[in-house]
Order: sequence, then structure tokens, then C-alpha cells
Amino acid sequence: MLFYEYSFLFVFLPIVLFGYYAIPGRLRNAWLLVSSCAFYSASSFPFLPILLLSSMLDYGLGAGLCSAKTQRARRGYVSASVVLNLCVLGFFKYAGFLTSSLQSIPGLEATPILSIVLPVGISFYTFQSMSYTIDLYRGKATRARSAIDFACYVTLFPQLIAGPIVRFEEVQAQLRVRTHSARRFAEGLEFFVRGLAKKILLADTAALLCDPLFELDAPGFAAGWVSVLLYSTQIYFDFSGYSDMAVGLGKLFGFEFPQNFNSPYKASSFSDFWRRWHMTLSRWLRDNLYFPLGGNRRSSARTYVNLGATMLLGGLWHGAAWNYVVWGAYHGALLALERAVGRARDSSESSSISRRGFVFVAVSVGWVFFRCDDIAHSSRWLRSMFLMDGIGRVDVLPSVGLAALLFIVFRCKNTWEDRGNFGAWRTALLVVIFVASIVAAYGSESSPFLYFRF
Amino acid sequence: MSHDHRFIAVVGIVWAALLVVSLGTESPQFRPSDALRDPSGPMFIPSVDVVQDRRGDLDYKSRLSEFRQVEEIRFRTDEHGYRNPSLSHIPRVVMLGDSFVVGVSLDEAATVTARMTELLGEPVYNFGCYDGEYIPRYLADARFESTPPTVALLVMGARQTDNIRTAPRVRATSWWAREPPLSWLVTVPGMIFRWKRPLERDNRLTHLARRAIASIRYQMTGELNKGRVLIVEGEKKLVLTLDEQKLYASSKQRRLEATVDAIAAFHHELHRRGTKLVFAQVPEPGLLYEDLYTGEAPMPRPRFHDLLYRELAGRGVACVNLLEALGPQRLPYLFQATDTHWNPRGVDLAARALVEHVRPHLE
Repeated sequence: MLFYEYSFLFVFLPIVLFGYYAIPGRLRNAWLLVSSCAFYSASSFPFLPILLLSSMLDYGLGAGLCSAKTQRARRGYVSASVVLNLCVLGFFKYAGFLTSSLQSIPGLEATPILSIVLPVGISFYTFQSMSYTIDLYRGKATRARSAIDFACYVTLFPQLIAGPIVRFEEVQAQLRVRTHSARRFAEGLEFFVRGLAKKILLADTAALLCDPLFELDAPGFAAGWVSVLLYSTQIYFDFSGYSDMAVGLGKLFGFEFPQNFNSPYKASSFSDFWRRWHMTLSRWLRDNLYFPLGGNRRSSARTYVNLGATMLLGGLWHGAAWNYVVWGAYHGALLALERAVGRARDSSESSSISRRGFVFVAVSVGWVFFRCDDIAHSSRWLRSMFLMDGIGRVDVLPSVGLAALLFIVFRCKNTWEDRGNFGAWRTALLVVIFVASIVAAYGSESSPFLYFRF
Repeated sequence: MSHDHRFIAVVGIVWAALLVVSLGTESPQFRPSDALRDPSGPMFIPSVDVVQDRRGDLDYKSRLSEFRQVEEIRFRTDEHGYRNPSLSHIPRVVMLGDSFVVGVSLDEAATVTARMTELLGEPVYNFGCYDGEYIPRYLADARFESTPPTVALLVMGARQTDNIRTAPRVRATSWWAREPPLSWLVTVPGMIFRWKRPLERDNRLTHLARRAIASIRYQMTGELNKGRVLIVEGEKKLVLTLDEQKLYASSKQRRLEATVDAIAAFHHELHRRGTKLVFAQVPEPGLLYEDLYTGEAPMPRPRFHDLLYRELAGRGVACVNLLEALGPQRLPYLFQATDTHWNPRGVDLAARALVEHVRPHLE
């Protein structure tokens, strides 16, 4: 069930909202849990038991960890949680990739390929569930009040499918007591409407313009670049739109979720980009992978290795394919290079347009690996982009569309910077874009959120 | 009232207004009230009045007034939920198939079974199903087991041919009465899935939105249907994009082998029961009026239609080639202007071709 679908917007959400505010406060988490299970069932019912078992497993291990007397036992509990979660994720997400990769090795051609359906949202909820025991181990959070509270935290439908990856400590207090105010509710509606517009009016328009270009065999320089830059805007508006909707939905139920995007294409360095793009994943990888590996507190060589390993695994987190591995390695290399030439520390300085432009273009080149079907397709695209297939040509419409989308990306404030103004004109504008988004969503084919496949 | 409250109220009112708009439906295939009674939709409910809208399933693609023709078609289902007059026995000829057999947007007298009944002089049973499960439904129907008909005509549109179902999906009908405890774990999601699509596709809000987007697209580009409009006798006709897309799919993508296997297996089962199977595919406008397309892209060769007929003939299935039967008389237009289905003239020509083939088996 997608957030803009009729069944969500006009059936599920009104029922859940009405039920939520109609029942006593002590039952609200249970109501949200049931609603979230229904939400998950609508798209991935056979995997609902895995979601619930995974939650209960971490809840149980968390309980064991809290009652453990020795540090060794605590370490055992947190290790069990991490290993079990990674095993679940590894089996569903990477077993097929692993077996198909093995099959391509000479001598192992007979390896059977496992074809496993990926449960929706597994990459997100395993990370989120796992972060509970990790935070308990580090003393950053205290034990969840009840299994219902914890299951509610893991399965909460606004962020269940594609994040933001919320840490338990961030919502623990909210799971106990939430304040509901007109201000928060209005902001929730605003976030939701703006996210909807980002997805339907901007991301889908970008997709409409760039998808035909990606059908070309040899696009040439012009179409190669226009298509990739269009895709850069598509993936940004798509995912940040989803995140805005998730944050907005959270606010409707009294939750405050962390920011997931902060105008990432306005970043003046690659490290700045990763502080602004999918911020909750970057933070998770930093806290649970980069820092434990030693971060930048050891030798320079070790720092580069840590950076590379974190980005490589970050790439692999996005998808079980070599494309994502290369994408992660590419970003690891960019970060390492930036560190080597000492540019990362300059991010606080007033950045010139050229630096921002360079970061945006370099990041966009990386998206080639995200958008293309495989390495061969990506290589073909990069060849065209770097003038090996001639200049080529591109129609006016994609170029004009790209210019408009880039204007919005670089000139407009993001939802977090410009919120909470509910004057008459702003209200009218938001209503108009809400209706326009609905008409556009139902009047034509909308693609699912790009990050749903992760 | 603070700005926050005013904003919430305004958005809430707009939201509610959109919800109210959506509650109506213009679909011939789905009404929420019917879904509540039976998730299968208005078909298969015994002895109920069904109201169809003659607007056509392509109407939303056009803003042109000349395509508008809103009219209601009413019929009553028989004791088993199919579109038939009440019959005391199973006739010797049964026609199973999809919406072409049901007779979408056709009056009672203009359905293909009604026309065949008139031409043959004996009743032809309409076993048309919207849900594409005519084969499993037929095989599971005790009436055809105990009194096998002499001839079973399998007639389906091109879109159904490559999506043929040989096994029924999970049934949700009367689950509350028949299924064992905890069966809701399976059937409730099944019902949600079954309702979700028609609910999203066929509510009035979706219809209005599609019309609005089609209007905008037409105003901006002049295109009704991605630039592929059929001009028949100087008049614009709409063609379903899906059909066009599928025309360009390969035979492998269209599941030729699986389709042939399914029909051949059905043929053998009917043969065992003493029933003769006759297959016919309703040709899509893209085949029948290939040369009249305004688009420039050529038709793929070999055509799926030809491959299907060749393979079925090789497997011993009797076929009636409606493309050949309708081709010489394709003008005036044989399909509805805003619908993928055939019009009364198309039905009449097809019925004549089928009767010609069926009559010898009845003598």
C-alpha cells in the first residue's frame, strides 16, 4: 500500500486516524501496532510473521541484555541480536546474489541459484530493530516499557517500508507519552502534502522525462547527461518526498521523526553530501560501522579503509547487485579523495556555486550505477556521457524539464527549512498542490517509490 | 480560530470532499456494494440485477465530446450468477470466455450468445466471467460434469489469451460461513487484495482524474493515446494502450507456450468428458485495422495471433479464425468507439462465423 494510493489515503488513513483519536491513550500504541500490521499485510502479508518475530526476538534479547549481570553476557546478547538480524537480512536479500555470483565462477557453475522474494522494508526494519539492542548495550536507551511499545516502534507504518531509520532512544519517550497539538497535526499535514507533491508532481515528472532516454542504446553525450541529471532529481524528490510523508504521518500521530534529507544537492563537499542525504542511514552506518571500525582516530591508511568499507557496505545495503557495490565503492573513493586533498574540512566555508556544482555532478555520475540495469549498461552510459559515442541530441522537453527541476532543487527551501506558515495564501497553495497531486496520481500511472525495493 | 486550526479544517474539508466524490463509481465491473456482498464483483451473484455503464473503458482517455455516449445496460444474472435467461437445463452449446462473452456495453439481444441462440435456433449458454477464471470455473461446475454439453466454445479477447488461468485463485466467497477457524488469516488479505484494485481503479475520483490528465495531455500534445489513434472511415477511434504495448511484446513475453499448453489441456479434459472444444480469439483492433493506425511503428512479425492459431491447430484444437472471418467486412468499424469490446455488428459477424463452425457438431 503506497501513501498516495486511494486505499491508503481515503480508506486506511482516515480509519486509523479516527480510531487513534477515539480510543483512550493507553490503547493507542496497540491500535497503531494493529494498523501497522494491516498496512504491512496489504503489500507483504506472507512476511508479516518475520517482521513480528524479528521484533520480538530483539525485544527478548533486549530484556535479557538489561537483566544480564556481566559485561560478557551483555555482549553475548547484543552479538546474538546483530548476528540474527544480519542472518535474516542476509538470507532474504543476499542469498540469491551470492549464489548467482558463485555460479559465475569457473568450476562452480552447478551452484543452484536461490530465488527468494525480498520482504518489503526488511532492510529498514532489521536495522531499526537491531539498533534497539545496540543502544541498550551502549547505555543510550533503556528497556522498552512493553512488547507492544517495542513492536509499535519497529512496525510503525509511516516509516516501516522505507525509513527514516529511527533510533529507539529518539522515540522511547514518545512511545510513553505523546503530545498532540493542532500545531503538530497541521505540520504533519503540511509535510504529507509537500511530500506527496514531491513524489507525484516532481519525481514522477522527472521519471516521465528520463525513462524514455534510458531506453536508448547509445544515447550520446547530450542525452546521456540529461537523462542522468533528470534521474538525480527523480531519486531525490522521490525519496525525500517519501521521507516528508513519513515524517508528516508521524506527526499526525504525535511522533517526531528525525530529518532524513537536508537539501543534499546543495552540499559543498562529499562528506557534506552524506550528512544531508538519507541522513538516518548515514548516521546508522557511522555509529554502528564506521566508528566501531575505528573511524578516523587511527592511522590515515586505516581511516581510508574504514571509509571504503563503510561506503561499500552502504552500497550493498541498497541492493544485492554489483551495481550497488560499485556505487558504494565510487562514493568511498570520492570521500577518500576529498579527505586526501583536504577539502572535507572546508565545508563550513561559504561555498561557491562551482563547488556545489562539482559535487552535484559527481554524485549524479554515481547515480548511473543506481539507474542502469547492470554493470554493462552502466558502462555503456558512462561511455556516452564521456563523449565516446559522439554528442548526440536531446529533445527540448527533457531539457526544459531538467532546468525547471534543477531550479527547484537549488533555489527552493526544503520542507524542514520552510514549514509551519499557515497563512491564507500558503494554505491555498498547499490545498491546490494536494488536489493537483491527487489528480496526477490517479489520472496517470505513478511508479512505486524507488526506495521500496531496498 | 488560529491559523493551525484553519489549515487543518481546510485540508480536512478538501480531503472529505475528494472522498465523497470518489464514492460513486462509473465502472461496469465494480460497485462497492457488490464487493461487500461478494468480492468477485457483480458477476457470480445469483439472480441479481447488474447495471452496466455504456461509457466504455477507454472513455477516460478522451476529452472529445463525440466519444461520449453514456447509457445504462441492465441485465439479470441467472441462478448461478451468469448472464443468461433462466434455463431449466444446460444447453448443448456453452460459450465460456471473458468480457467479450459477457457482453460489456451490449444490450441483452446483442450479446454473442444471444445472437448465436437466434442463428442456431437453440439456446447457447453464456459462461462469460470477468475474472478470467472461466476454465477452472467450468471444470469445477458440477452441471457440466453431469450433463456435458456437446460443444464448448472458448472465446476470449487478445488481452486474456496470454493471461489464461487454469487454476482458481483463493476463493473468498462466503468465507465467514464455510471456512474453518483462523481461515481469515488467508482469506482476509485475499479479500483486501481483491477489492483494492477495483477500488483504486474504478472509483469516480480516479475516473475524473484520468479524464483531467487526458484533457491536459490532449491540449498540450494533441495526442489522444500516445499518438496512436485509429482513423476508420474518417473518424477517430481509440485503442487501448495496453493492447498496443502487448503487440510489441515478443511471443515469449506473451507466454505463448503456457497459453497453448493450458488450452490443449482443457481440450483433452473436455474430450474425455465427451465435449468438443472450439477456440476463437477476438482479434484486437490493432490487428484488424493495422494499416489504419496513425502511428509509424510497424507491427511485429510473426504475429502472436498467427503463432497461437498454428500451435493450437498442431495440438488438435479446433479453431475459428475470427481475424479471417471479420477481416473482409471490417468496415464499418466492428468495435465500440470508446471501448475495447466489439459492437453489435462485430458480434453479429463473429456469431455467424461461430455458428457455421458449430452447427455440424450438433447434427
